[in-house]
Amino acid sequence: MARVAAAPAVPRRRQRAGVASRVCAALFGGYFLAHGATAFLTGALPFARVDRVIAASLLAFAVWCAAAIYVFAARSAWRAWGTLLLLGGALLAVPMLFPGWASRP
Amino acid sequence: MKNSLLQSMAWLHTWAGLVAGWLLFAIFVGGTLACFDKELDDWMRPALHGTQPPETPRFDAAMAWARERMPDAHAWWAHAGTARDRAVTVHAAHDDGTVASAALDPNTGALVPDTAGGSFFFELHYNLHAGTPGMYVVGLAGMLMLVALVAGVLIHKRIFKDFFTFRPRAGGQRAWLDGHNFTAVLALPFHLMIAYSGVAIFVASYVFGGVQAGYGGDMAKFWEEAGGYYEREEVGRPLPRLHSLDALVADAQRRMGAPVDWASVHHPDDASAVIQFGTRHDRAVAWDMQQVTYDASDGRFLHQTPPPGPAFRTYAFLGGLHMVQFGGSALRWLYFLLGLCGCAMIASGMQVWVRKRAARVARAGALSGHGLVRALNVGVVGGMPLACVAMLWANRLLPPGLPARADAEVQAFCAAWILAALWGAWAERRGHGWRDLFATTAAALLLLPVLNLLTTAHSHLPATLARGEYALAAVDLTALALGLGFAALAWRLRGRRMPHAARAVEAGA
Amino acid sequence: MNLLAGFCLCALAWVLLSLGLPKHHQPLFGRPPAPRARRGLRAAGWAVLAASFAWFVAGRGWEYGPVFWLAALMLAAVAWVLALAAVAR
Repeated sequence: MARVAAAPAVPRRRQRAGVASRVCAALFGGYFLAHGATAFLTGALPFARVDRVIAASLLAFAVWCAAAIYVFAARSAWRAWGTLLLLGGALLAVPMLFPGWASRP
Repeated sequence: MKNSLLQSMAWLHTWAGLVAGWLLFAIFVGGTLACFDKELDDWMRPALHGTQPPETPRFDAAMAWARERMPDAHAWWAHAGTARDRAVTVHAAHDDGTVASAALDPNTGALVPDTAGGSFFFELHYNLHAGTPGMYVVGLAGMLMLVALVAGVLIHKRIFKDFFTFRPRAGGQRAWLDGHNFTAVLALPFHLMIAYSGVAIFVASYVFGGVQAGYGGDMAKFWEEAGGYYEREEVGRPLPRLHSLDALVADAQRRMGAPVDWASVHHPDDASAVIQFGTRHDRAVAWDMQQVTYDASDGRFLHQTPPPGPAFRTYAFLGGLHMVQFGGSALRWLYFLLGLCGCAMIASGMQVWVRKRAARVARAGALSGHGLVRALNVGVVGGMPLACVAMLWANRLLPPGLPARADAEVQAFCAAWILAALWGAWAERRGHGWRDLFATTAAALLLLPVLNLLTTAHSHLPATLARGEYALAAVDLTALALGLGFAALAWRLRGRRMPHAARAVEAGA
Repeated sequence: MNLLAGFCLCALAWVLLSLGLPKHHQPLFGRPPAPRARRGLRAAGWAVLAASFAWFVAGRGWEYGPVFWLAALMLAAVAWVLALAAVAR
């Protein structure tokens, strides 16, 4: 197994807060990203409307799962939150700004 | 957080697994038993053993019972008697959520003693018998399982080299980790499919971004386009008469091109009432969700659902893969065995957690986080199988004429689990909790066919084998096989007097 | 019979593939496999794996076949690992 550098000394409370932050990011930030991705795909997929909604919705779980994995692999909790909120927000913004696109038949 | 991806994924796998572990074990046991939910339903209604359901299903007697029981129900529905489950089961649901159920003879329409049946395990599996909140808890557990699976794959560096590795004689943590690894990796496609399809079935309850963006949140419009289901508004006038459902079955089968499996009457006390029929899900992987609708007063045909679009078919395919109603009993047996692998994966994973921290667990008292984990382990993993067998015992022991008989069986299940959990947790402080529970479960399973022999006339093993009712016999035989398995587990733990963790501390681990 | 035969094919594939690994060849044959044998065992293993897939699809079609095949494949692997653990000393 590769040698790993010793962890820098981090106060226990800060460490716990970091973990708690990541758990929240995985649960809520991840869900937000999944929500945004679903809304975006509902516009972006090349099918009929009902098929777009179902396909995008079925994929939401994969997005949420990937987001959770990313959160715990990210270098810091702040980074994780930032990525999820920005990416989720950007994806959600598109169908919100162009409602006709997402709800076209 | 940790210094490498490996460490952070190991942390994630450990904690996602631990937090969801006991829930997932219960969900997996329920789901594994639910592979044969209909067969268990049938086994638990000995009054109908030896009879055959009619070729063409009959529902009028069932709806007559429903009318008497709950004339102002929101809906009545009934399932036809089939080869897997002979009884006609009928339910009536009120707007306030109360549901009344009964089981009828499929030929005569007479009431038969009811049971919580295999359906109990099915509902336990998808909502822990806690309604909508329970369904959300199960969904969250499913997501944690997905995360644990992915993290587990990422941290398993020797996944191909150790593919076939299982060293039970190495003892202790090594053996448990090997066991956890092989039951997880070898059945990984199953675990991933089961977890994903399981949460996907309830996608409409968990995911809202699509309907929001595509339909502006109009769920009704979405359902209309997705499934093409029929609905009509209540008119406020009473229904003059209910047309015979039995008279419509042949037409329904012709229109659907499939056998009728269930029938329902919606708002039966209103003139707008409709009769609907649907079919089984055993002719393809994907669920066959088609329905035909008739006017409830004069029986004229109103509507048939159009063929589903590709995405809805995909959804139905995922659901069908999960619920395995296709492929005959052979595939249900394969899923049952794969489900047992899943149970073993979860249980062995919890054991790895405890053993890795053996010294800390031993030092910590009963009233600590570690003490709680130990108690929950033995209470859930040791106690739940015993509770399941206890319910089968209750089914044979409770008097047939007992009112609310199904509820009494469920109470037996709950009481058995609580008692077993308390007993196991107490005995584990002396190091023999697991052994005691496994031994008791083994005895209860091995004696089940004997109990069957003593309490029934036509339903015990010699009788069912002689009549060729192999599905019934299989319940008894499987009980014997599982009983031997639990006996072997209890035998391995014989002579233990101290918790392994305490021994580890004493040995200077 | 179809299912049993298919299951045996899957098990054979796993037997061949596992014997291509020294750690499983050694306990059964007393020595690691020769490099040529390793390649041969692996090739044979994959070939039988493909054959098992073909068996299930031929017997049950493209819809049911792959489902049965994967289920049988996974359980055959579990069965072989348990057998290996029982035999290895």
